[in-house]
Amino acid sequence: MKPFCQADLRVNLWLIFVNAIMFLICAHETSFIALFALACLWLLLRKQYKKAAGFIAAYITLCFLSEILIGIRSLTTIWFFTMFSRHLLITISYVDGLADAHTGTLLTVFERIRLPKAAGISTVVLLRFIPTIAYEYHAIRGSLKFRGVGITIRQTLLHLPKNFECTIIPLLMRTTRIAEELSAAAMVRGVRTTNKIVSFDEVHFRLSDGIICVIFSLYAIIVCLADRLNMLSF
Amino acid sequence: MTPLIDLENITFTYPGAGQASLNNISMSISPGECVLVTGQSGCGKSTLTRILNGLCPKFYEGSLRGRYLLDGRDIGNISLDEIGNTLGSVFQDPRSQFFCKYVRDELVLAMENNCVPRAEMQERLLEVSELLGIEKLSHREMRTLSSGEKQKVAIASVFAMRPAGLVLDEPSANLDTNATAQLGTFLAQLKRNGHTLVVSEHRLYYLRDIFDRLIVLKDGEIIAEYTRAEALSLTPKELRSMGLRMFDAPEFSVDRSIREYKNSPIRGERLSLRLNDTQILHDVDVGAANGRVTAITGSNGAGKTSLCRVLTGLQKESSGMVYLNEQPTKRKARIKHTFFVQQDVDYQLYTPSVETEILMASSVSKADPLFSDTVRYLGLENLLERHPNTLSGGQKQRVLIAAAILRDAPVMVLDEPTSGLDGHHMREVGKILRQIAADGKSVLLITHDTEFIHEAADSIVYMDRSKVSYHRELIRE
Repeated sequence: MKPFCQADLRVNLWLIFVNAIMFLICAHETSFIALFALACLWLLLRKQYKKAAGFIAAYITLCFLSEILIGIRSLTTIWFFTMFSRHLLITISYVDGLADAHTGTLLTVFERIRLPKAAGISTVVLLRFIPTIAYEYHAIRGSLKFRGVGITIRQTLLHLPKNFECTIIPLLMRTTRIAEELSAAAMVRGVRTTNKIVSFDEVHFRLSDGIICVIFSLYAIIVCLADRLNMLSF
Repeated sequence: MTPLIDLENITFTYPGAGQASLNNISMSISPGECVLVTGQSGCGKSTLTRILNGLCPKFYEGSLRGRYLLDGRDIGNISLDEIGNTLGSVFQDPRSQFFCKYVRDELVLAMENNCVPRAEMQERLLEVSELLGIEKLSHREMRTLSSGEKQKVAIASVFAMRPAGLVLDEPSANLDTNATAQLGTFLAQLKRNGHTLVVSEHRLYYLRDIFDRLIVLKDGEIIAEYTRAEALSLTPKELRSMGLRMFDAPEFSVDRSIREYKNSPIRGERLSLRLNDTQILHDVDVGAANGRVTAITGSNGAGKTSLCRVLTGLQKESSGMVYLNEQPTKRKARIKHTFFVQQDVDYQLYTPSVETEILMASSVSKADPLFSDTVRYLGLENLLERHPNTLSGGQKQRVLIAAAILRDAPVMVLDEPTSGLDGHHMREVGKILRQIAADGKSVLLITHDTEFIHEAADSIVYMDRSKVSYHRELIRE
């Protein structure tokens, strides 16, 4: 399904950068809500309706949780997690598009914006690894059940340290091994940090990409200014 | 004619290893030749392939002595990607050799990083896609492909750089019978087209009409080298003495149909499973008997692993019922009465020693005679203090089998237990499983390995497109 807005990957990277700055500068929750609304618009323009709905549900749930956890000292860490993660949703929204990008295109874009190729390769590997880690995690948790660990949620919660240990060790072993094999496979096919790359698809930064960057950035700057002038505090 | 590959007195030692993994290996491979390299697990086949594609010592550190000329050039003066452009590499595990999300990206990866002009990339992409019959896969995600399709993409991605030859490390390890046959056909075509092939393999039967020479390794040394005619005239006894598999697929036939599953320790009735709008299992009736080994086979994607996941309780069925000793049993209870040894044993090792791994979640203690008997029977007595992750693949598997025995689960399921195993260890695993069945357990094997089925199984369940085609008794000739 082609998105309404098929922007160059540099738009994604720019918006991730801008929103990461906003994440650090803004102080009021209404500012974050305004930025989150724009992030949802981005997802809708890319026809990611399910993802947008999921992110909205997650944001509301995390808001609700952080409200009820305020002031409970023993749960401060969880409160902080709910605060941090719901604001992080804004930046994560703009990652949509990167994961689906063609590898050569992504590496070329990194080259065009003068980032080291190592950063591009690391990004590609990270995006490729995340679904792999999810698969590995489920395989490990499934196998653990036959050893009497983690059969039920109650049992998992009552024996959390053991569950964590029994999950993290094989996960680390597997990901280390996969990383090594993947590196070897990539190197014999010429993927190096030192050479240039010619992408299969042509990469162009169009006028429409520039317009999106300007509009989204202006919005973010206005929200930030309003935040600093306390115009958005209620 | 200048050999494409010329090794002279190659010795390679990994850092910290007490002895060399390869010792004084000399071999010469001419352009257009197909050389089959085989030997027992741990003989040095994989290290030899790493020497050939330059990964040892350029990626896997170690001390290399001797001389290696690739197309007349000293390997020390050639970069890894230059080597890859002359001698492409296809690795064993499709899951960990793919860099990209989409098939097309994987096919063009090497060309992009070698700055092949765009027009030529498009031409080569079309060429390799047609050669391997994967034109329709171009826009698919890698994770949605079958093992056979993944292996084709792996070969195509290497072939896009038009290398003179290919080094393949156990390319059929994860393939079903049909995909293995297709691989054999494709390699035969490559050979006819003049490409050089070096294939490191345990399964010999699908290459019997292709190879020119057979090289047998043991403990890092070449112990035998045969021409094709000499190799094919080796008797089964001679092949077994070298720990190898046979050149011919085993002869066996199936007899009476098994349809009655009353009094089975485990059986599924009208099992169906639907995931993500795909019918994985459709109305499956299957069961296994105590004291018997049941092999579940069929093409990749037929539903074999999903069936066993449902039977053991790892996956909830969409409809139908699973009975343990004729009692309908819920998912969590099934987990307690079964043990599933997955294909990749690395998922199932959690503790710092073999001893604690075997005893984990077992009601048996170290002092119990069952513990010492089991450890001795499986050849683990000298390994008890070792960390499980330092063991070989076969040793890890035996650790898990020991854990399964001590857990005393009446039903044991093993998923491709002989993937990557040589003939000797395959037969050993078969003996162990037959003994476990003889002790009263029910053993289910998910396997493509026809030699292993012949060694170990009492009956075969054949699955095709989410259904059980038949379940029949096995008759060995």
